[in-house]
Amino acid sequence: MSRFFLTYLRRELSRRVRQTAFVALGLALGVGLVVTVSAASAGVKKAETGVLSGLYGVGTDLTVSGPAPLTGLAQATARCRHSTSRACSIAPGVRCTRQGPNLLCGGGALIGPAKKSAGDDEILYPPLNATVSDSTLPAVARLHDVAAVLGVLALVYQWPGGTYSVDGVSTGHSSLGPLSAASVVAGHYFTVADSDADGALVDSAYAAASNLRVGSAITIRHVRFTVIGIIAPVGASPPDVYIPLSRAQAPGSPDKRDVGNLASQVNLIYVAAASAADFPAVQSEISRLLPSDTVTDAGSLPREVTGSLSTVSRLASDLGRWVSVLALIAAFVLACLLMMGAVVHRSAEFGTLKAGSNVPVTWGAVTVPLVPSITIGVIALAVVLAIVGGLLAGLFGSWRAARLRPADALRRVE
Amino acid sequence: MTEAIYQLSGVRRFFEKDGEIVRALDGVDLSIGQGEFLAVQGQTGSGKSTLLFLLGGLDRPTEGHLSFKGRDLAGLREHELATLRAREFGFVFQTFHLVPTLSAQEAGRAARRRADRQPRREHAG
Repeated sequence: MSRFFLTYLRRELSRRVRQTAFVALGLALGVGLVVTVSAASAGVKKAETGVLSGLYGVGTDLTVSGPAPLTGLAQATARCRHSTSRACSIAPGVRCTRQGPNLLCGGGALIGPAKKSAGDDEILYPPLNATVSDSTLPAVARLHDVAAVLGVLALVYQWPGGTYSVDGVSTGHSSLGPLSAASVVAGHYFTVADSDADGALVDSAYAAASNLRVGSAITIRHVRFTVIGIIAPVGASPPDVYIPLSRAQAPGSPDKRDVGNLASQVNLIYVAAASAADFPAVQSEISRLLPSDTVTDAGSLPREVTGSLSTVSRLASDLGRWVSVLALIAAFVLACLLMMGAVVHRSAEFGTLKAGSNVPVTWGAVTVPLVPSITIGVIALAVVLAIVGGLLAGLFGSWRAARLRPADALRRVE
Repeated sequence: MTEAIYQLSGVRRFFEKDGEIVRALDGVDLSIGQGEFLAVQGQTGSGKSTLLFLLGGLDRPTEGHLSFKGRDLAGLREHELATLRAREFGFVFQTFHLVPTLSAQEAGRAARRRADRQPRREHAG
């Protein structure tokens, strides 16, 4: 590079401070746009992962759940309870009829007392999936390449003071299931001796909101459970309370009316395969064994999860991808426009130089300011894009200016 | 008369402006000899600058023949014309057209850079 070119470049940058600053700011905007969108996209991914991890135990390879989840079941059920009709619908295709004091919904799930009476303001029911007998668990465990199996009964407890979620979990399988990634922040985890005790683990967020601590008592369906431990939240929307599975299946209701069909029932089965290579085979075997249930593996979870979560996940993913692409294009175009503008603005100057001899092609002097970094890769990508865009536009503009006859270039300012 | 270094024959230079054809030069025949001093006089818009641009190799005629020292300027390629301008012509613009970031000396030196880099045709031949 000749000394003349360097002198010319230095003079241009130093004497056209305002224009240089304007171009630099534009390029910085482009770089910032790419960095921001990349950060936002990464944030969405992280949030998505966090949400999904709450639905899945870390040590779990497959989850078996009953037929399709029923969105808004709690509200629909509450409406049905207070309805004067003999039958009502709690979800599309799921009708409930009164059977004595209870609602019988969807042909099988007995979900609670239908008639409100004194002392009967509470309801405990499986909110999402139809239940299956826990006698299924040994059959799943016997399948080839299955390393471990755990049944969970996920319930919702509705009482006049509010609603909270309760998971009935095994007290002896901490490496599998919803509590596999949980850490105890106060008190202690379940022990085998707790399997028939009225002890409860409480999510720390719920404990803080309800002013619960180790030793506090909570009542579930007329039974007092003592909080034995507070655990850190698992995932984005963890259950509020965990109690031993046997107590969830028969929490000692005085009249037993609302839990009669929950005895020995589970509605989520967590399965650990012997190895990742066994996933497809195990999944296939479980599907044959439980044809009406849904088998979900970690990889397919984002696709299989039903309801709004899946939609939001896909939307965020697609949106992030396309916004990233648009931001890259916008940054590139911005750099191009700025450099083109700078070059076209100086066509007459090029004409003067060319009138003397020939045009020194200006390689778009690019000043890229530093922007707070997210990752080195993202910064490098954004800077490279800005430089490439600036150079290409500068080259293109210079090429066009250089092709002008000197007389045409000069005529532009006359 | 001394030997002609410029020969113009039927030179036309038309422009298109706002959809209309402007005939700046229309059939100029001219011969300029070595060492001859020539002044061109005319009203504004009569084509004086257009003629000088053509003589200075800054523009090309729309039609006609224009030669300098026997070389047809219209037939030269852009870089050949640039070299010719750098070596043979001096041109002072009416409005100067100075390069704002270069001194007059630097601008002049810039014009000579190409001429200095290119071997002279007569030397190369």
